[in-house]
Amino acid sequence: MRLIKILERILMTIPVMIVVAILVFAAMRLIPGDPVDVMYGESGFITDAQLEQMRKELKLDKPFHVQLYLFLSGLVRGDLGISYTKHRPVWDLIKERLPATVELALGALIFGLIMAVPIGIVSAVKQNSLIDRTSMAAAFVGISIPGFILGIMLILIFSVKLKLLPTAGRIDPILGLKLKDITGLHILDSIITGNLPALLDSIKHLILPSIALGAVLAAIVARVLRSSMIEVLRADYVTLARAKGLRGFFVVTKHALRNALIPTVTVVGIQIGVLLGGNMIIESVFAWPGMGRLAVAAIKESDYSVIQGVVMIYALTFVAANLLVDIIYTLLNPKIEL
Amino acid sequence: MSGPAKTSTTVDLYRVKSKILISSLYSFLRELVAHRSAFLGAVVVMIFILAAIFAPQITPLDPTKQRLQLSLLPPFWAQDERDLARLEKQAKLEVLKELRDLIEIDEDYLARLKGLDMQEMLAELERLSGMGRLDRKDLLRLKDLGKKVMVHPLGCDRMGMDLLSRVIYGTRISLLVGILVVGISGFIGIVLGSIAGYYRGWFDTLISRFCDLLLAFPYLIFAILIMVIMGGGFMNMIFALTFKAWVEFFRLVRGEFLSEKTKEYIDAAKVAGQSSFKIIIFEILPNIIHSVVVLGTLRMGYMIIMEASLSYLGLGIAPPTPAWGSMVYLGKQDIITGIWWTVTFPGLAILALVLSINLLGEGLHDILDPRLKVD
Repeated sequence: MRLIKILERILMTIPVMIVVAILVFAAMRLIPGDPVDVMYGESGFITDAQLEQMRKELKLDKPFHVQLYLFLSGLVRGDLGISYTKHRPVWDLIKERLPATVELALGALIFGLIMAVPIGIVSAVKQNSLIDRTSMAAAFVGISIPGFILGIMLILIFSVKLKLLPTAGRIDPILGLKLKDITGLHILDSIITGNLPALLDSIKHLILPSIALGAVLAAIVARVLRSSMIEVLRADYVTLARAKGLRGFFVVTKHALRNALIPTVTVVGIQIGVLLGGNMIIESVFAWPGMGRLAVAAIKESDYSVIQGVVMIYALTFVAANLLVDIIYTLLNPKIEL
Repeated sequence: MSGPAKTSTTVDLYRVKSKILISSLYSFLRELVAHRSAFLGAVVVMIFILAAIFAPQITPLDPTKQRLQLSLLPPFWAQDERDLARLEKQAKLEVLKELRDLIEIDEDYLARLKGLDMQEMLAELERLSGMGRLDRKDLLRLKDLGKKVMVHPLGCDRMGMDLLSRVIYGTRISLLVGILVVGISGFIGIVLGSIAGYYRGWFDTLISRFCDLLLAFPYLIFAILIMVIMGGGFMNMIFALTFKAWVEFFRLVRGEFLSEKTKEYIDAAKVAGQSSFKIIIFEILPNIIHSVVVLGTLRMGYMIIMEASLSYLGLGIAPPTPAWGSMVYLGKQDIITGIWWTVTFPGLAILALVLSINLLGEGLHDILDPRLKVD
């Protein structure tokens, strides 16, 4: 029964994704001027006939619905068109940068959860203690500070002042050349190849951007986990577990945490969107060679096909992430209907 | 009161209603003052609002005037001899420029004036005024100008624009974006949400599906997409942020209407023959407006962060217009060389404003929405 519901939920995602794709495509057509204008409009060395030829090659002379059809069918094949400024397939550009983005997102997620889960639990168990008050104050600052400002402050303190960590990039260029590319995730690659210097250097590069990106997540998750833990700890079944003589640690971890996690998972799911958007900004703060930085550069160069491709990937990831959250949600609590 | 006699019941009702309103407003204010963090937030937000309104009166200098002479001048406690010399040179330059606009002076005299230091120059101006060549009023103005240019408490950015003035003026953009986006989206959300929640039907389905669709995009990505299509600028930013922000208000209001509609006082109002319009405006809305206020306050901080982020990406308010996000963007290129002040001051301003708005919002949440209280 549950399986059918999950399947239903997956199927429901497909029309959403199609509409998202159509919306992004249509939105990009609203921009005045077509790609050919953007590419060559200001150069002045090209005749009108050549421009027309170019439009034909890019199929821009076809009516909207034909273009839309070509775009959607391309999307299914993983073809997102050609970058106007780099003259390479957009999908290739994204593919090259995807591992960097994934690595940073994972770094932020791991940082966020490592910080938030213990803090949330301890703050709930030791409510109104010094630890609780300090960490909730910190969490409050965490939700109020924009990621780019936190990132720049971290660079100022840890890179410029203390000279502990690098300011930009993923890895020292020389070490990077020696590192064999297997998964594209530097940390994983250096572990697989047993390249210790590369591993340490990648971790050093990853620390500050992960903190800057993951801080909001950590703050929000800690707050939600704390309040749902407090609620759960008051429940009758927790009192019963305590009355049975179970040790406090087990009561908290086995009985309370599982139920307190349900609202937390929802919040993590909502935050994935924030993580995706924030990644664009944090990547440009730290010159992190990922998808977000590709998008920001494309915005500055008016490279619409790249913008379109990246926005599409972001939106589809977001839809997929929400789907995943809903599924985890059902698995955690069988009573919830999708 | 003279005029047509009213039935006693209506007058009483009116009196009772206004009495309730005043006493509940009073008790709200008392609770706000008693709620320490909310009160602190309210006070700081008030200070920011005053700073935004009176920016021209309290800023000593024009926030967009570039003084390349003063490029990357540090804040006052870190200014050394060379910085002071730069300041003096700049001040003299501007005073002399003004002076030349006021009275005719020949090149030799100008060269002599240029050779003097600030004190000597001012003394020379006094002499000119004593001779009757310079109006007393103009003399005071020139002195004042010299003094003002000499003082840059927070230093300058790369273009030599005064950071303190820019931070103060930046308050205007941030607050205006926050208030406008939340105000407009709140209004749209209330109108659509009450219609959808009260009448249900195809209208509800249509708007709700549209909301689901908007929610399929991460907020910032969506705003970026719209800014790319429409281009930068203040109004476009308001539009881009509002385009999705109303969804949350809509969902809240719709949900509240669904639950309020089942309550008995609505049946009573219907039996009494009130129109649907009146029921929506006068019966239901007053009962749910507090949760809209709470949501609005909590979202305002987020909108200010969004505005700063868009400006940081170069999509929002473009320099030299003073906006905190673009100030941080301009300052970021210099942080490697240890120039911390150009990013830190606007950064702290954003943090302080968003933090206090959030404190106020959480406080309002506690005070106005006791149902959701988590102690």
